[in-house]
Amino acid sequence: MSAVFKPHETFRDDFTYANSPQAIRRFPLPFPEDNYMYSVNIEPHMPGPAGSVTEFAFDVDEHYVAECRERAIVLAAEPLRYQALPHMMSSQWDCMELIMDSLARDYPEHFSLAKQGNRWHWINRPLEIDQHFTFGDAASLPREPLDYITRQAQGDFVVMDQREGDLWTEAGMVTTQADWSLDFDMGMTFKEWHGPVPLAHELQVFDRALKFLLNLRLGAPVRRLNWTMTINPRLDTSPENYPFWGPDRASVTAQNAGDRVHLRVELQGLWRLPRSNAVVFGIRCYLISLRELATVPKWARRVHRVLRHLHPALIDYKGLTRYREAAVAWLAPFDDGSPTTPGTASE
Amino acid sequence: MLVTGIKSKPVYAPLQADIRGRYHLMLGMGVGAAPLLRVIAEMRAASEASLKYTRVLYVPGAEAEQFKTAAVSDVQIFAGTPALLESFRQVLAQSLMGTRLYVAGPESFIGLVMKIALEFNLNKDEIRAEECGSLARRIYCIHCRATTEEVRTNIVRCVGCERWLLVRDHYSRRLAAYMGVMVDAEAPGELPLLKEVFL
Repeated sequence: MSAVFKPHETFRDDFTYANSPQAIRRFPLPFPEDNYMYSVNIEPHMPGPAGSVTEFAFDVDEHYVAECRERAIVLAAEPLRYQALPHMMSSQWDCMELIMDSLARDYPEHFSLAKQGNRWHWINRPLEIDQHFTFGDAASLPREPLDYITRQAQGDFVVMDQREGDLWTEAGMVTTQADWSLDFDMGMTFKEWHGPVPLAHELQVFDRALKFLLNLRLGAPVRRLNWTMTINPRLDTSPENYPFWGPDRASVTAQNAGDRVHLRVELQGLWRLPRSNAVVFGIRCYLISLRELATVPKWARRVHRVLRHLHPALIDYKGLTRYREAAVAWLAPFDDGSPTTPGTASE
Repeated sequence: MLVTGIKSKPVYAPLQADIRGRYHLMLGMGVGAAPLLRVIAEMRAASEASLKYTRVLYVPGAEAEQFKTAAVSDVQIFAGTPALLESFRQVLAQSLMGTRLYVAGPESFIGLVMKIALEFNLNKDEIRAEECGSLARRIYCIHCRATTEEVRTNIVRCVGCERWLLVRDHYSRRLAAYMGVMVDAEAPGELPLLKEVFL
């Protein structure tokens, strides 16, 4: 069942973004238990239940049109939020093919792709795009292939080249990130890129994740959830623009936390690419306000407990220091102390 | 632990002569002279002829005279790092297979040399570097992209946008710099105490 797009919602200024009751029910809660610590929580990216965010390779939801517009706004002001090193062209085509094939297969009412040899015809109905081009010929598209297709997709994309037993961050479209910079991190190895993450290096999380990803197989993508919190439904919480969104963190009170504080969940997907042998890392961001979250009683209790007992290093790294107590206070009346059932299902 | 826990900063090991190399290119700054002179002595002991294929580019300290008596075929002394790097770039453009690169000096000097080596696609096993001297950092402002040099303090005013930046422990080899992020964005004017930490 396809979502009804809300093309006019915004992720800045007046922040009109909101989740419909259907979108709340399918929200990917990242907490299967009442407490949280890092783990290598990677699982096969197999199709999930109908209507869930993992039903298809790339989830297209009610925010699709608005998120694509938000991306265009960011890129108009800061073109370097998209970057690709010259040797990544083959992986760019690979990535474009993966996204086009998936969208056309999974959402035929919105997208179609016709291939006659290298002559391709792409139609994106929600964004009113109709493009004939020659696969492999960059001059036949208005932009580089990765730039072109990720402007028509929700979530960030990083393409990692594989060589010397490592994964190198060497192309990407990153406009909806939780406080990391593609521009700064371009060219880094896997562990350099993740350098600032606390605790996880010592838990060997990145050793194991890298080893796993170096052996990622074509046709066997994987996924994991990650999370942080964001004030207001703001997609662009880049370090570049921190001077503009940082002050929001000081504006939270126990009274307004329900509407201002959002749980920010990343559905991260990883795919091996066929020609380039690169790995594409999709980071799809879902935002939900505490008020929306609290419409599911179990989730309100769960998130209240996770936030209350979060490790101090994670509170600092995730930038929650200034407003965590306000969020906990806002959620407290929803937690009567009764047990939660295991897993993330809404009840 | 401000310095040791940095996962994105390369770890450098003490320099050693590699006489399997056919050409030896040495780049040094200030107290970096000592490790380079040590390598030159190792080379003289192992294969005196290799000194004929050794070239030194150096920004002094007081040690410049010592290179002149070291019997190395070619020593060039520069007034500052930018001139040395420009010459390094020209040398790399003409350099041959079998060249070994030795770099010694402060972290920021090594970083700048590595940045150029990266642009020329030198392999890791062709480069050796030994860190010595000042821990002052180059800081890349993530907001305006300007780089502030010779930063010794925990926070610094950006030379580009004049914001006060917190010096983060996140290093980019491509930019040869640490990240600087606005320190008082969440509470304007609330600055931590200025402290000298990178000495």
